[in-house]
Amino acid sequence: MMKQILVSGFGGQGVLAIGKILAEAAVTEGKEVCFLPAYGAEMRGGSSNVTVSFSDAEIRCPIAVPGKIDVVAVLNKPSLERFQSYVKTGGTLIVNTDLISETDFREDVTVIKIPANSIAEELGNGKAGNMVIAGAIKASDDLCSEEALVGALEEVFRTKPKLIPINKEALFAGMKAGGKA
Amino acid sequence: MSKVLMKGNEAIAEAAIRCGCRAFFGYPITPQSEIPEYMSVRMPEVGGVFLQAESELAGINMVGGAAGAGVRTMTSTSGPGYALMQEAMSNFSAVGVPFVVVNMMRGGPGSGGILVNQGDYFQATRGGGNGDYRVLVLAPYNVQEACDLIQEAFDLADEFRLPAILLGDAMIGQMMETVEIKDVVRENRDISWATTGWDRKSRPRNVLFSLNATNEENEARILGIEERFHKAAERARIDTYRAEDAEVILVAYGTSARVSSAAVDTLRECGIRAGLVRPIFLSPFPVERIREAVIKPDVKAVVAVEMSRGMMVDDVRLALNGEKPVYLCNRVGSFVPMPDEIADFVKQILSKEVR
Repeated sequence: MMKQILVSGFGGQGVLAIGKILAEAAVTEGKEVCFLPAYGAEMRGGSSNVTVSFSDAEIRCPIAVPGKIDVVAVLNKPSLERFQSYVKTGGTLIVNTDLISETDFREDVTVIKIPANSIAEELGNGKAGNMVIAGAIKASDDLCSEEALVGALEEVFRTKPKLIPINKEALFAGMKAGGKA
Repeated sequence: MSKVLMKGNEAIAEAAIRCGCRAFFGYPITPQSEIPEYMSVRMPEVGGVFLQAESELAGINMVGGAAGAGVRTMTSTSGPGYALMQEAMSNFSAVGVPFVVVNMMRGGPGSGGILVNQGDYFQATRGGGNGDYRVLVLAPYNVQEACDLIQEAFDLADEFRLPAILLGDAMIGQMMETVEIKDVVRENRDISWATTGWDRKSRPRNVLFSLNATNEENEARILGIEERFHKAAERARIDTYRAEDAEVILVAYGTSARVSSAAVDTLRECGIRAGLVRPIFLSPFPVERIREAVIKPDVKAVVAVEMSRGMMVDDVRLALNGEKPVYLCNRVGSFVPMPDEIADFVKQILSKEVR
């Protein structure tokens, strides 16, 4: 059974890092993973998005198809407009309410509203907002274990060990905020 | 070795090193620049040579020089860069120098764009160099297969004394996937033909020179290339997905094949028995394998799915020789055809064929 997530925001929000730690975590648990970034001109300043596919078997089509994605996380308003339709019926839409003021969303999906930047700022570093989102994605769909995700975070921040504690806190805050009540 | 998550371009570079590639000459171009970048770090570690040439033209001639001296050698580029290499591709094909070129297709014509595309099919399979020559072209559809095929490409180039091309696209180069890279360093490669230095009469001089003194010599050279190419054709193979009982067969390679497999599932859900035939070799084209998979009473139509105005579809038509109706479903401009678009196209043509 393949699961797909899509994360979108603007360049600098750490969109690719969200996909990267979820992908690395799943790999350590023996999953087949495909990390498909949007790149090119979009890397600089514009929008940035990544689709990550997880499966126990070979991944045939890793491309994001509208209406088929299990979890879509949108970090800014243009991303909501572009990718809300990508969530499958019964899937999850994670919305960063710090940059998205909309209140009307699709009714056939679970909407999780998270002020990711505010949560990270309260913890001491607004830049860790992306890890709040990563935690929320993990909580909304069981893509990997908590241990694997923390391990992947430590690996991704290996060269910047000072940033590990704050990012871990952000990750846990995201898991708490994203857990389905 | 357990599986690791690697970017396509880097995995391909590592796979080349693990099968004994010890010289890389090239020039950066998106979407494959991670290959030279990776090689610049790894080659010195394994005692190999990495050199960033001043242009693609210089790079491919360095490749021919090193490969001609018997070293496992490669370069990597994308369409605009490969265009500059055509004179050398013709020349080194003529003298039978084996090496590997990775060609990560981007948009064209001209500088085109840097995103996924398949408009360089003719450039790769037909080539733009002068004269009667052919090269081997292998087309991976995921990162694991790209690693396996580049290792096979080196072996095939050696065996048939023809340059081999690994034809990927921007998506395969840029995505990260779980891979297991094998160690397959070949001992005792036959390089008795190579210009390795002539130690006085121990063997005849080896000369790699493409100008022929006589018509007979020229004819023999061309027929030799053709004979080796035909032998390589026996290896040309395909992969299939749900094609055994299919009433409609999609034919696609590379990224198009990944999308097409999702279209097959979509069509099956609608009760249409669709299947996928995926050529792994594009040159020589796997004519016999495709015919075996397609020329069956149940098959009503064949649909080539491409990200070009229709190139591989020509080879599909030649292979089927009018025995099955062949259609083209495509997008250009780096738009990837979506599974639903392909499925709708198939439904439409089936309603015509069944009539």
